[in-house]
Amino acid sequence: MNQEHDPPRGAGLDPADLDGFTIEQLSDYLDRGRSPSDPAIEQSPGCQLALDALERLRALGPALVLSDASAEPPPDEGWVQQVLAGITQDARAGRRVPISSTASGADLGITEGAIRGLVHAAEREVSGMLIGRCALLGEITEAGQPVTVRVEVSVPYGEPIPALVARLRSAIAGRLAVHTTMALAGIDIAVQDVRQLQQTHQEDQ
Amino acid sequence: MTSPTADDLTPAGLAAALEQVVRATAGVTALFRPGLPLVRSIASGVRGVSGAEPHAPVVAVEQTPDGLAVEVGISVRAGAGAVATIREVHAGIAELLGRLGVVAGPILVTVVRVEEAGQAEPPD
Repeated sequence: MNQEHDPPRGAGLDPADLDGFTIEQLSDYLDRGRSPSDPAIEQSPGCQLALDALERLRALGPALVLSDASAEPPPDEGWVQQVLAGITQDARAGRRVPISSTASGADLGITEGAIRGLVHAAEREVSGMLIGRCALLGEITEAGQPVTVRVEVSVPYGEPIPALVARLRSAIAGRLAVHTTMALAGIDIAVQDVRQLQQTHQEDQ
Repeated sequence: MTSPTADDLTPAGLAAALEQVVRATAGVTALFRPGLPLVRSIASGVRGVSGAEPHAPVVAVEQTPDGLAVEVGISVRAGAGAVATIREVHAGIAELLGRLGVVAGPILVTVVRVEEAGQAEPPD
């Protein structure tokens, strides 16, 4: 089923700042179960990408979500704050990446924001993995030009990092092959943090 | 019932017919009004194309020297694949224009979101 979505507030498909919403407002909206439905949020591509990212973040567990700013900060607060800040940036439509076609008159493309979203979604395939910053490097608006994907990740403590990274790289490459026609030159993955998940804390206690 | 011809359709009617085709394409989960800066350069000066007007068509159409320009943004289901889906959308648009005898200009289709399984779809 599909719906009509009208980017609100004249922002078109390129929201400068999540169509006027903050990441905190979108987080509150998720807390309310997206109810009552806010058309301005639901009809904004940028807000949808940000909500996707927040949902993925929450799926990793309560330890990664800062529901109370006044509470004692968990050990990984810094990383999570970086991730939250990055969601806004990553949800922007950004550049338009061509999708190749031999059809006459076809001008097909996918937004940089959509690509970042599907790269982030690859973390679902690697338990405990959390992708932070994601960048597409290269002349991505030019068809056929080599593009390198660079991501920063946080990994769960206790797992062999090379194996985790290899699985993530494979997951990202698979998604890019299905959803883009970019000439992928490489996927650079930088492990920025090793986290102790809350579940592990509880099990230890 | 006879199929409409280009002469039967107003620009709004043509946009609506194209919208139906796009919505019916397997893998398409939602449509978004156009508005990318790249696209606005083509649509500049055309009322109802910028996305700022509340009743603007979801699919933008505009007659250009090269033919009828069409533009739309879509979100797609991850399982369907953005590349396969967007090519199907383009083929559907081109097929309808051809059937109506409309000379096609540039057809711009942009994927703005890939929906993973389990991600919430916006409500109706």
